[in-house]
Amino acid sequence: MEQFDVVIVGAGVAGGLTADALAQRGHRVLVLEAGPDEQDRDALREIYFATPQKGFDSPYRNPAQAPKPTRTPVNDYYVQKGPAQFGSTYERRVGGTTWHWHGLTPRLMPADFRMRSTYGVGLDWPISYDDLEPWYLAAEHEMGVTGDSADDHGSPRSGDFPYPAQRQSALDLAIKAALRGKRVRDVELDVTAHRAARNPEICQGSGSCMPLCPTGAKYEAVTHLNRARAMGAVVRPKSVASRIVVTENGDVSSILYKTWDGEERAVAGKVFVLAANAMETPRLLLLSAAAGGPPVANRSGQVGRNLMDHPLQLSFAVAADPFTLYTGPQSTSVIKAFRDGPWRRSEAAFRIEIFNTGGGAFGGPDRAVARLIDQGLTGTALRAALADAAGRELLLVGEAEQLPDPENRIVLSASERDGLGLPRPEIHYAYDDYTTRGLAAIREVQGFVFDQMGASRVFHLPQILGSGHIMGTTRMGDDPASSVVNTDLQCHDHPNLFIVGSGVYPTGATANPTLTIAAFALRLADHLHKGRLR
Amino acid sequence: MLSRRRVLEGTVAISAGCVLPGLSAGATELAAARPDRAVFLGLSRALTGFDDLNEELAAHFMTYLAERDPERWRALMSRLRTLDASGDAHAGPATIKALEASEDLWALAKEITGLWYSGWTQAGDEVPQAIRAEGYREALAWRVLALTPRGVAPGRLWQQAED
Repeated sequence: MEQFDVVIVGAGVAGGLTADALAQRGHRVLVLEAGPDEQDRDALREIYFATPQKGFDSPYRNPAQAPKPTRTPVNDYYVQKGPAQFGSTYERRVGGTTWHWHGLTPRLMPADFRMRSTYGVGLDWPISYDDLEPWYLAAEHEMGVTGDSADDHGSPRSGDFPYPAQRQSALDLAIKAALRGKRVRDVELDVTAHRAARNPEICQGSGSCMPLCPTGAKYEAVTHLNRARAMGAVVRPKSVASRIVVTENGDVSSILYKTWDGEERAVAGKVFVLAANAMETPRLLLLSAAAGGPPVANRSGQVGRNLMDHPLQLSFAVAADPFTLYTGPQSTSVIKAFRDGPWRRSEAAFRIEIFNTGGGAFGGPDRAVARLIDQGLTGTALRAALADAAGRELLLVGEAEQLPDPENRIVLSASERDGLGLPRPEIHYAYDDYTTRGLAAIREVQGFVFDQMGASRVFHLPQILGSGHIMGTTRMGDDPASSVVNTDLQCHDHPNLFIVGSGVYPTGATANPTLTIAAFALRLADHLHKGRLR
Repeated sequence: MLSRRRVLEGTVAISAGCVLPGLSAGATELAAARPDRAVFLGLSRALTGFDDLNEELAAHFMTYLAERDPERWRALMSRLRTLDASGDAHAGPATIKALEASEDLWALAKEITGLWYSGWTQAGDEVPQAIRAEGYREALAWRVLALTPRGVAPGRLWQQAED
């Protein structure tokens, strides 16, 4: 059987940074990736351009052996049991979802780690913001994050960002001016530049961070995976982990994986790291038990439970004056005032992203085109009307906090299987009153922002969408009876099995999770290097 | 291998319903194809408000429309010829008005406008169709907005750009 120091499952940001950090320190690393390794940016772009209705998943294929959930259109990979639809998707390919992510990298805030003791809801994390801070800084430098180092956004810093803040759009600045000195829900609003992993020395504002940056300015995990390869790590695509094999003493001895041809192989290691996101990691743990062995990492019964997202409330309006939209990074600014405050005792915190995209996050002004054509406009009248209408399309996107609920969970489908015969994820999911009140607050604040701008025809999308921020299904805690991993991300039940990713979040807060995932990965690699791999 | 253009020319030759005696098959197709292309471009110019339309893209749009619904395509071509909208000149407001009078043909004309402006189309409840990547890249909406298509780098750094 092949033997490595470290076997990592999942070649996304978590697996990529872990693999790179360990390969740099001389460890023999294998990364198993279910999906393909396709990095030809131009070829991906052609696929994207030829896709009629564009979305996060458009450039990336969906092979039967490593299928993925899609949103445009919604597919049936998830077996949805409701009552709410779980709307977040991801990519299964080398580089993972950093191919289609937005590149936004806020840190969590100190209170996010102390929800129970501060606001009496959710639970406290077993680590603090201060524990993670040095790793946040390291991750910002690894990923190349932009930001104003003098403004910590409520998350104290021990060092500067590697790049200055990204330029805000004219729309951002107009909203900032309209909100100056204004308060809503007794909170003063401000519009500040995102922290973003977009290299300002490369970024041309191509309007397509999601689903594919044409210049590679946006951080993608292939940066670290390719660097790890150069240091000797093996990244093995089209290799679908299907079972974790545990010995009687509780150690993991090997991982079984299937090739796309259906052949089953095994690989051994000193240490195993599951980095397959908060959907595929619990699925693999559950698959391992379903294959006839004992439960894996699930003494607590928490594997797959406490599934969280940042449910999205989209709001549209028509601006009084036109802007230059449909260009620039898709979003350059955030309204962050509602990320933390006393309201979190009873309703979800949230962030609001200002979109430079006009009415649609992807592609061209297709809605305006369709509407104007439908009105019967042709020729020069159509041209003039479109030029005016597309510049007035405003879009605000609020992302709400969600508390852990053990009934929000992923289990294995008893009847539905993927192309390799493995059970697909079945999802049970609902929004509680806490999140529902937060979504209502988002509508109120987004409506207020539009009002201050003098915008009209405000429309709040009735459908609540997923943000792609899948969290909570392998939670971290001190107590093996109620959590899956400890503060070192080590499974309580298996000394040489570790989980890295947003699955370990005890609560969801409001920060886009990728930077925190990256911080966890660097922290874990350091821990392994100084500990079990010494 | 049969190119898309050849397929197109074959399609429109059949749709035009006229095979001229004494010409080779290829020449016959070309002779028949030119008027159709010109007719389509003339209508497209009137619908879109742009004179310099991409002829290769026009060929792809024609192929797609003719293959998808040959009967309606033939009806449109026939109607346009009747309206004397052939040649390189703009089809005029009278052509637009005449098409508006026919629910079927006006729906098709709107779809043609949408193809030029967005690069893709959706007929009824059918799955949306993209003609090809160029349809998006050269969608007229980008020219109206004076922007490179999203996903194509504009050629200057965002940090130094002015809105």
